[in-house]
This record gives sequence, structure tokens and C-alpha cells, in this order.
Amino acid sequence: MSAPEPQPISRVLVANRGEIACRVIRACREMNIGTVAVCSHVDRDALHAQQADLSVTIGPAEPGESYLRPDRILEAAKATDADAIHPGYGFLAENASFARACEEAGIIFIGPSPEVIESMGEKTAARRLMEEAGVPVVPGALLPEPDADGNFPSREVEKIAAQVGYPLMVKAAFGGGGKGMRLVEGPERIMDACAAACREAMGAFGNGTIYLERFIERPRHVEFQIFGDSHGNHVHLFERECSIQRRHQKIIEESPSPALTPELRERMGRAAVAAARAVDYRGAGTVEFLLGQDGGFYFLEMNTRLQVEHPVTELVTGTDLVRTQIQVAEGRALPWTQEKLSVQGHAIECRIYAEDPENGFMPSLGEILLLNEPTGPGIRIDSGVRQGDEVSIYYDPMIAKLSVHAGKRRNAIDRAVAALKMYAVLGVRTNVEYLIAILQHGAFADGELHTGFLPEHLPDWRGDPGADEDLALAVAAVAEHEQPAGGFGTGSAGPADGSARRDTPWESLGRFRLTGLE
Amino acid sequence: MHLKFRTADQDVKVDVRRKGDDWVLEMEGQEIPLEAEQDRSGCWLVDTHQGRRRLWVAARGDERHVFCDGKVHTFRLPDAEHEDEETAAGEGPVLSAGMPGKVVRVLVGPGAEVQAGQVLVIMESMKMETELAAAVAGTVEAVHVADGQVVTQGDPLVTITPGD
Repeated sequence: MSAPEPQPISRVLVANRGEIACRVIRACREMNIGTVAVCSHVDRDALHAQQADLSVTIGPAEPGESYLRPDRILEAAKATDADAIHPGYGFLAENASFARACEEAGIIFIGPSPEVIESMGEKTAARRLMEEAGVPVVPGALLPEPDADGNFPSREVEKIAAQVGYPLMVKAAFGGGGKGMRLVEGPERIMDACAAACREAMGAFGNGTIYLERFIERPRHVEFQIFGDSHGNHVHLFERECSIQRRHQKIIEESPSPALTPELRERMGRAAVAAARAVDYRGAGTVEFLLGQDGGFYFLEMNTRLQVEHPVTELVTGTDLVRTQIQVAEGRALPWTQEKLSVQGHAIECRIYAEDPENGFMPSLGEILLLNEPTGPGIRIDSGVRQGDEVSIYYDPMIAKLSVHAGKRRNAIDRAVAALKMYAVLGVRTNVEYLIAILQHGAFADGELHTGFLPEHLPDWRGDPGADEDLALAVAAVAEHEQPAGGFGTGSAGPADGSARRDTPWESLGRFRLTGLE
Repeated sequence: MHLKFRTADQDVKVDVRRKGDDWVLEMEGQEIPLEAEQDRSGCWLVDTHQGRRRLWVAARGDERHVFCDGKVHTFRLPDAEHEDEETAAGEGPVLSAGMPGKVVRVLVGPGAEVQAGQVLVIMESMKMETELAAAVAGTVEAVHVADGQVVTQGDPLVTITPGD
């Protein structure tokens, strides 16, 4: 097999916004590759649009009219002579027809082939493909049809159930919404459960076919970063544990996982590479597994893109995944072999959301009046916003990511907490205090994570309203006393001539940028 | 300087005055000396028994937001002159959202003649519906939101050109 000559990329259009667009632009700048941003009308002054060499406005704020419009993005790429498109994550990143349209337009899509995106996007087909490749999936089996009276052949059912393994879930094969679902701990209850589930499923869906599936108790979400090139090389870059989720939304991710022994890491890594090899995967991808408390792991799905949480992998492996994505898209071979890759220390990422954890996690919108990002050794910020920016309803409320790297897990936790305590965002509510509460929870420190961690340990979480309230009031009062000559915003803002306009000083303070001009 | 802050559950009177490089605060009858300075980045450094604390303050309208160790405190500084008025909505020609929530229905369109007190928008906040009425009579100049839209506190909803 002779691989084609590498084809250097000279200008990348980034078909995204926010922190990930900024992340891609940064990698391109380091590689001396030109960048084109696309933006909606409301994003014209957004950070990503300003950081790129060129920016093209492609439509109204609604994503469906801008960031999700393949035609407008391709038009922008042609108009600016971009020879490659990086989709980031979300939006069109896992849209096979967009990847295909890029190919047809002669523009490199920085990602896997459209066929791979398609086959991994269809979850049952992906599961079958992985099963064939020897990647473990959650064990399950269909039961034979019951007789006319709704009774199952007991010997056969018991045998199938034993093969699936207990505890197991009895499910209506053609149903949903929990109807017909039963958790069965052992063989003594299996026949009753199947008969009852069958009756319920008949009543609810007109079909009494029953499916048995192994129930994974308190599972962890452990995913493996994989990478492939167009020369037949496939590697994994170890795992990320993403068990801290709220309604299936990851909030805190880390690497390595506190649950993996070297032996289990080795086995899971091999399975992840087998998954990548099965579809001859090209570029960056992620193989997600459910990990049971007993160490059994099961393929969940494959994400055919760069993940939000890729920084933790970059920190512990010392790699630059976006740079490598671009190199692979140019047709170059992977810069590492599996043996050369290793994990150094521990990394944790916290997603900063503009939302109000004390008010049903409602998105919090408006102007960011003040932003102080923590800095220091082992602290990385991937942000898509600046002070003065507006958080709008149109896009994901994740405004930034804080990632920390330290020698040991408990030092990484300390570092993350200390950094969050300096991560001042005022004007919109954020989840910063909630993140600190999670990181400081004893079960988190012990590494006892599972996907139900938040509902179990922090249900209906609320901060302590009284904590430091007097101190906050005192400083608010002092700031009031000092305004407008620097009470708010930067220390030297505004003329310190004492001509405090007591009536409306605030309107003039919000946007102070330049100082000392008067 | 006399100040009155409104916290989530009470009004707190604070008297603040400068004393040399520091401040003296009087809160709830107690006199508290405060050693504080603001650094160039805008951060307030306060020396306390637990060591040096760092806080950030920002203002929007009569709101004061204070960040301290990951927690955000929000106070209101009711303007003495308007103290008794409901600041939530309907003070002038711009009807704005008094609290974050969802627009259930906008009852008027641009060009509509409205009366003072006429309900213009139905909002839902924390699972309760509220009716927001025009403060002045006039003509609807612009509707800034659509049914189902999520808004945050202070967002303009409807602008009215006051009639003669």
C-alpha cells in the first residue's frame, strides 16, 4: 500500500465558535497556517471571529441559519481560499453529508471519512460492528416468543438469563419510557418478571417481545482517546474518566481514571484500538465505555470528532491533538507509536457553564461585567469569552474550560479548587461554586465515581448563602465609597477627579477599557 | 457614607468611612475596621483573621455582584428616591424583565396603541406566570422578544413611544 504524498494545508476555516474555535485557531497560528472564522451576526465581535486572520459572517444568530448551514460555510471557504475545514465539536462535526460535501468541493475535512461518521452515528449498526471486531458490548439477548397463555419456556429463559448475567434488566424489545422494564437480581425472580413484563409490553405496545440486558450497577463513564492516520496506524492516548455528569452532560473530566489498574487500562486500550482499526479510523476519535464496578467494560459509542475534554489528554500525554489532527489531514503519519505514549501526572477539567445551579441550572444570560481567569503553573484556560462579552440564548452555555495538571490526583484537585476560587465571573451566574462543591466532596476525593454521582451526593445542591456574606457586603460598601474612581473594573479606571456623578456612575463604568486619557 | 444593601432576605445598613489608608464600617451597630486595597487588576485584597482574601465587585444598575472564593453574592442598592417603587418592570417606556424567565406570550405587536396598565407580556419564572403591564400609554415601537424566548433579568421586552 503506497500512501499518497502529504498535501500541506495553508488555510483552515473553522466551522465553529466559542472556546473550541479559539483552540483550533491557536494551533493553526503555531503551525503558520492561515485561519478563517465564520460567525453569525451576533458573533461579529466574538473572540473567535477576532482571533482568526479573516472572518466571514454567514447568517443570523440562530445556529440553523448560520453555524449549521453547510452551504454557507462552504461558500465562505471558497471565497477565502481555505483548503481545509475544521468542524470543532457539535454543530456539523459529526454530519457525514457535510464531510462529503467538503470532499466534493475539494476541501479537506479535518476528521474521519464520511463513511465512518455515518456508520458510527447509527448506534445499533455501530454496536454490531464493534461486536464483530471483538469489542465487548453490554450483553443482551432476545427471549423466544411466549406461548398463547403468555408463558415462557422456563428452562430456555433461565439459560439465556444466565448467559446474559445477573443483575439484568428485563425490557420490552419494542418499547420505551420504562414500561415493561424490570430489574432482576437473580434467577429466582426471572420467570415472574418476564411474564409480567410481557403482559405490560403487550398492553402498552401491542408487542410482547422481551429483551434481557445486563444491568451495569453504578457504572463509570470511561472513554479512550484514539487516533489514526491514512497510513494504517492506530493508537490510543489513554483514558478520560467522565462520570461526573448532570443529565448526561459531562461537567468534570479527568485522566487517568482513578478506577483503572494498569492491567485494565491495557485491556481497554487494546479494545479501543481494535475499535479504531475495525473502521480504519482516521484522525481524532473517542471510544466510550461503560465500566462496571466489577471491572467489566462495555462499548457505548464512538465519537468521531475532537472531544470537549481533550485538554486533559493533552496535559497528561504532552501532546497537541489539534496539531496532530491537522497533520493527519495533510496525509502525514502519526507522530507517535503506542510504545512512545505515556501518562505523566494527573489532569482534571472543569467546564464553566453560564447557568444558575441554584435555580434549576437555568442558562444565565447577559453581559459578563467582570472576568478574572486564574493563572499559574499547571493551569490551562480554554475560553471563548472576554470581559464585556454577551452570553446569548442562541448557543451552548459552556463559556470556558479550566484544566489543571499536577503530579498526583489529590494535588490536581487542590489546584482545581484553588483556581476556581480565583475564577471570578460577574454579570452572569456560573457553576463555579457547584464545581468546587463537587471537587471537595469526600467521595470525589476517594475516586468513588459513577454516572449517578451527582444525584446521589449533591441532590438539590445549594450554596451556603451566609458564607462570607458580611465580607462581601463590606467590600461592596468600600467599592461603593471608592467609585467611580476605580471601585469597579480595573483599578485605575476613570478620572479620579472626585467629580463622582452620584446619579448614574454605573452606566459609564461598564465598558471602561482605556484609562488615563483625560 | 450611608448605604443600604438588600440581600436575599434582609436589608442591611452599612456606614462606611475612610480612616487613613483603611476603612471603618458600621454594620448592625458594630464597628468593623477593614484593611483593604484594590490591586491593578481590580481585585480587592482584604486582610482578615483567615489571612488575605480576594474579592471582585461589579455593578449593573442597582445590583452589586461580589465574587469571593468561588461564590457570587448579589446585593441590591435600592436608590433612596425610588425605594418604594417596584423596579421589576414598567417604570418607563421600556418594559423589561424583572427576573430571568421565559416569555409565555407577547400580547402586542409593533404599532399597537396601548394604555397605561395594559398587560403586554406574560412571563413564566420559576413555574409561575406573571403579567407585565405598560407603565405609560403610547404606541409600541418595538417588541424585542418572541413567545417561548428565555430572557434574563433586565432584558428589554417591549419599547413604547409615550403618547401625548
